[in-house]
Amino acid sequence: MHSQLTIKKQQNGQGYIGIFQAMASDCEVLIDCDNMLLAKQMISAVFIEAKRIEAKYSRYLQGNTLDKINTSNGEKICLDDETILLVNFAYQCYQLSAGLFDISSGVLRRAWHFDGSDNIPKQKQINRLLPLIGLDKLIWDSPYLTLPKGMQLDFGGIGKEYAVDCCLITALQVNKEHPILINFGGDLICNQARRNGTAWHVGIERVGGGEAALIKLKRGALATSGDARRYLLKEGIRYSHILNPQTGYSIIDAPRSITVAAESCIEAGLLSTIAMLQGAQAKSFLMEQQIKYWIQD
Amino acid sequence: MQLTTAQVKPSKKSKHKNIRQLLKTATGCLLGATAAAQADSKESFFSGWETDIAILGYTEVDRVSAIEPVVQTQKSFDDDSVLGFKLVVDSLTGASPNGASPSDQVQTFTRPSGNGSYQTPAGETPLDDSFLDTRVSFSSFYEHGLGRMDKMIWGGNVSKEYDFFSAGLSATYVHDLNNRNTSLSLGVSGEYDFIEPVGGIPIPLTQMQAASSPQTKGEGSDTRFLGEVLIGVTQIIDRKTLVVVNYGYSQSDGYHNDPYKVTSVVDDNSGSLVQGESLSGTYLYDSRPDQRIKHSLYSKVKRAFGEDSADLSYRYMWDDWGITSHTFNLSYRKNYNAWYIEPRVRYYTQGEADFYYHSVTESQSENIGSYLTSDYRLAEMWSSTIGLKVGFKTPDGNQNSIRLEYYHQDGEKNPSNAVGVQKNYDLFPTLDAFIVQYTYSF
Repeated sequence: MHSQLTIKKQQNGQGYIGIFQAMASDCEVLIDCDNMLLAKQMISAVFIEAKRIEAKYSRYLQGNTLDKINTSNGEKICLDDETILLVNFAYQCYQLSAGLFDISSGVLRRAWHFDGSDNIPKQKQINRLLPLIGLDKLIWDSPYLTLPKGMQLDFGGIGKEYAVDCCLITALQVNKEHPILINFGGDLICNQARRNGTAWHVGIERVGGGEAALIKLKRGALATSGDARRYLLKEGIRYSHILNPQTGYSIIDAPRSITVAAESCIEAGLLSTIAMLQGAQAKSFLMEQQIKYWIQD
Repeated sequence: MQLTTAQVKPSKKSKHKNIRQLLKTATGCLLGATAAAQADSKESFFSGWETDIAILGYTEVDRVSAIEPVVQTQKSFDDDSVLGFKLVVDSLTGASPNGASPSDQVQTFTRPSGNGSYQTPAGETPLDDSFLDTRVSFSSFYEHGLGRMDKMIWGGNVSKEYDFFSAGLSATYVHDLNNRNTSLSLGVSGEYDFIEPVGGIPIPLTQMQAASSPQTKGEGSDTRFLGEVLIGVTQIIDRKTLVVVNYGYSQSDGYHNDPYKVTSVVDDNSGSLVQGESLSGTYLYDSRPDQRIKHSLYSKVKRAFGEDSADLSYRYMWDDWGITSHTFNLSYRKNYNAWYIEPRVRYYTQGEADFYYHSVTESQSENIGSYLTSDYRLAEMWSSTIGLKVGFKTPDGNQNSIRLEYYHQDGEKNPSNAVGVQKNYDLFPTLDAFIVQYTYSF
């Protein structure tokens, strides 16, 4: 798919907006300033950075950094600086979540197909995959990584949020003064209040039959985990696309969606994902974190 | 869907550990010291206020005119609390009906100060032309969350006029339930009023005296307390419809008279002036109960039609003075890209107070009870308002609006109990007023 960047002046003097597709999401960059040249520079910097990260870590592209890891066939490989940081981060999240957040759990997709159907995989299928999951099975001797044969890594759980944070850093390298909001399919960050001092208004997509929520954000990030579209439904039970890497099973008693506010998008994303992985305990987990959150049941 | 939002203290017995700090450290390693959101320091208290400035012009045909500047500002803080302030200055000049009836003779009245007099030609509604006042009113509110589904709104206001001072406090508790589709509110408020009329407090039902005579005035000032309870339900019916129902109860105790209003006493047969103690006519000072209990029921439906919205409301009010009133209001907002128009109509009708008389005859006056008023605001009357508001944005993105309204008020001009010459005159002072307001928000 050939993705294009569109830049438009917003109505009512609200600055400029850049729109493009990346990481299977609608991406938006809002710059609240009247300087067209500067706004375009900031937006294109974001676009280029998002595309760079997508190209490097997309699991759908052959020959990229992730693909090289996943096709290493049990051989030791040397990682670049950025990937070292990402793998280190993934390890820390694995530890923080007591193994619930695991970037090697992607192989479960071979059993689970979240297409809204009632195709729940058989336990036998899942059991066959479990030996291929667990970051503790890797040999990580930075910068050298050895991924056991048959295992795969996937940065899908943090990639988009990471891209949002990196894109903000990149945009602020162009210019620090202007209010900017970067929104990649609901995972978003802004650096400061709008020019007139008011908050950015961000809608949370509604799930189920209720009202969408409007969040006012002056600074910081939001990320949402949920199963708005990706789930299985069988005998009245919703199987969310969030999978427990230890059991290989879908979390069935988690809220429909969790939105978390944090300073960076990657923090917000991890907190919402790890909260989801707590299932019915999601709310008490979030309360313990002393953060702002929004739950839709 | 249940949508809950919170920033809560952790429970002491939680089995989850707080990973936030460790995660923040890990994020710092990943993104580097330049990590995005930390780039901006804490904002100051003085930035981020949303401010409206408005100027309102009000003109009654041949009567009072007013200029009213308004400044209001509010700010939403990071914890979702909101603080707001509002300052209104009213400056009124012109003439206002003094309550007496038109007559077939020239009428002479004493100014409220007791110094000097003014005359009304035969056949005209007596107006006190010395009406001049400036009102300054300041109010503030603070709204904050109370746990997940509750909030409190605190309010305070003070208002000062030449002859009047008022101070009030209010507290409103709002509870959301039913997946935030329903919200219940309970509000209480109290107000203290201090009234210090020019020339002192007239003794009720005594006659207005000539400027040269001793004035039948008592104390220099009096007070009034007002307490109000308001309960309300706001219900979201569907994604496009919202319904509000409120009930209000208020009780005020103290001085309710209008110290500047009098009621004419006329001849039983001719309807002409009756010689007073020191004036050529007899005019009795206003007298009202020292307590008033009001009830009101209010309902509103707001519905979206695509980009547009309509707002229909009805208020029913009744009190223990015998007044009942109905208010209907309909407005429709049509949104265009960078501007909107909002036409509005309002209709109001009320019945008279038990002790309202446009005037009393001499024999009636001998049997009058404790209370008597000819204040048109307590008479049977009806009024309609038509208005249009146009909002637009200036190139800097700020909102502007201009509101134009025409108000017409009418009552029983030729009541069946008019006597003699009164039948020739309008016994209810009709009123036409124009309102223009310009608001700039930034």
